[in-house]
Amino acid sequence: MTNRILVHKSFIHINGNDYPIMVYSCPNGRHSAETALGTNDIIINDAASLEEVLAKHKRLLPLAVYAHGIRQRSKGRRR
Amino acid sequence: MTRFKILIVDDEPLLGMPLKRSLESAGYQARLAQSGADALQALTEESFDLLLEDLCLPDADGLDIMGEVLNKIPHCRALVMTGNGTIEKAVKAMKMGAFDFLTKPFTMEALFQKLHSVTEFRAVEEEIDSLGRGDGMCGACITRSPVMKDILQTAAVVAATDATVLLLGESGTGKDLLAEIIHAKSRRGKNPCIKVNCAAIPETLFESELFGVERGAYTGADRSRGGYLEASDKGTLYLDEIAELPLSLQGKFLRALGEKTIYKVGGSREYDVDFRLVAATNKDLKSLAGTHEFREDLFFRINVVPITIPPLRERREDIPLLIAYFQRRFQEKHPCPKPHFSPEALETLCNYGFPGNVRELQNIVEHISILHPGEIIKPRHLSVSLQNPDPVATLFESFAVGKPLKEAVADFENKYIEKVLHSVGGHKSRSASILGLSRKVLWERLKRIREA
Repeated sequence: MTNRILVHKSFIHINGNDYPIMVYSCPNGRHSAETALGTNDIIINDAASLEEVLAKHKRLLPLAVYAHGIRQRSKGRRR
Repeated sequence: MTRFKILIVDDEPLLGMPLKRSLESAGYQARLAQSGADALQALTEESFDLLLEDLCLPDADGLDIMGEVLNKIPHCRALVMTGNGTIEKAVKAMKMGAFDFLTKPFTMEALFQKLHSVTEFRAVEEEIDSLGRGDGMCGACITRSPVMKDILQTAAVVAATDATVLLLGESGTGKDLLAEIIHAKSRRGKNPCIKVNCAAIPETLFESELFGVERGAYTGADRSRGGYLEASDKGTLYLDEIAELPLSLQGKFLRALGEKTIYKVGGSREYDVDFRLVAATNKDLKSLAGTHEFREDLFFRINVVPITIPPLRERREDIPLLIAYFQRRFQEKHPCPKPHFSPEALETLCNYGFPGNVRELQNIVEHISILHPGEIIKPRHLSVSLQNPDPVATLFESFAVGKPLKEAVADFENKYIEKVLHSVGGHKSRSASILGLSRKVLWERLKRIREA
């Protein structure tokens, strides 16, 4: 995704960790919220406005962190 | 807890009375009926969990009494006692629905073993009933595995959001079922859940199937037609085997996912599509993104809530429960006496690797139910492949030692690739799918193997 502009940056605290939230505005007016949960482990949510995407992203992040944690642990068990 | 109630029907007081006393001192509640008439009288007075009956009675046919008991008390199980000369009658009783039989004379230890099987079976049945009473479709996810229970809980939580879900797991683990559960429990549950298997659509048709076609897009397109995305408006789009989504279309799909608008093939009109995506794969999308075989930005949007369903071999505790569940489902569709899995057969199944997972177990149970109704299933009834649990292990045993690990692993991989290719009659796409490789990578590997 080129020509995106960073319009928001903040952190969210979940289970003792701080996760960054970066929101980008795209040329078509849509917004994408990104958070890196680990190395090369990024999640992205999209919505029409900054407020909408932030609300959606913050609502989903705890569940995403939980699900990614389980995935990491199960991958570790299989190794 | 209520004690297990047993109705003993035996006309020989020398056997009946000591039997009653032994059962009572072992904690069971027992009542002795010394004739068929006594047994029928007992039925009018109380309910029982088990009928322990001698088939030779002075005043009635033991089989008739058993039929009457099982008819009146559907949850009751029957253990029949028989002399050496009446084995045929015991077989008949089994076909009529008896749980098991004992040949006289028998030891109390043998009886207690059978009772243990009955109580265990009852516990499994009650567990299935309670899961089934739970909440509709979740009842279909029969499990006592803590990992699976966590997964169902996560699915219930994620269903309430509109998040994209990525279901991961081997074939046959139940990804489709979990997608259905997520859809049913979501606010979109009353709207359609459109299921698409990406591997089943030819690449040339993918765009029109997914996005639809405008009238006049090509010769023969005499009217506008909606695709899967439009069909899943207000509902859920379930893309199975998403790794097979053609790379050339991933950009267009990414736009649809992010912006919730589409253009049909050959059109310039924008359509709104309000869909929730649930995707599934048995491949490592992260690795595919690393090798540019899957768009990374699409992967990051799909992978918001990943849920990994464990293979059946990692939740073996569910195997007896699933057997009972599939037997019950089969009987509902095709009423016939159900086969009884002996402890040895259960052990064989519990030790098996189940490469085809729950789907394979279901097929085995249905196969056995058709071929051996009312019979006691021994390991010999199960197919030969089950008794050689792990073909990979067998292959492993054939390797000579003395090589460096890297070389041994490469040898094993080559042999395994050839074995898989052979097993599917040389079909490269199917082999690639089983091996979790792209066709291109498989082709390169085969070229190297043949050149070596």
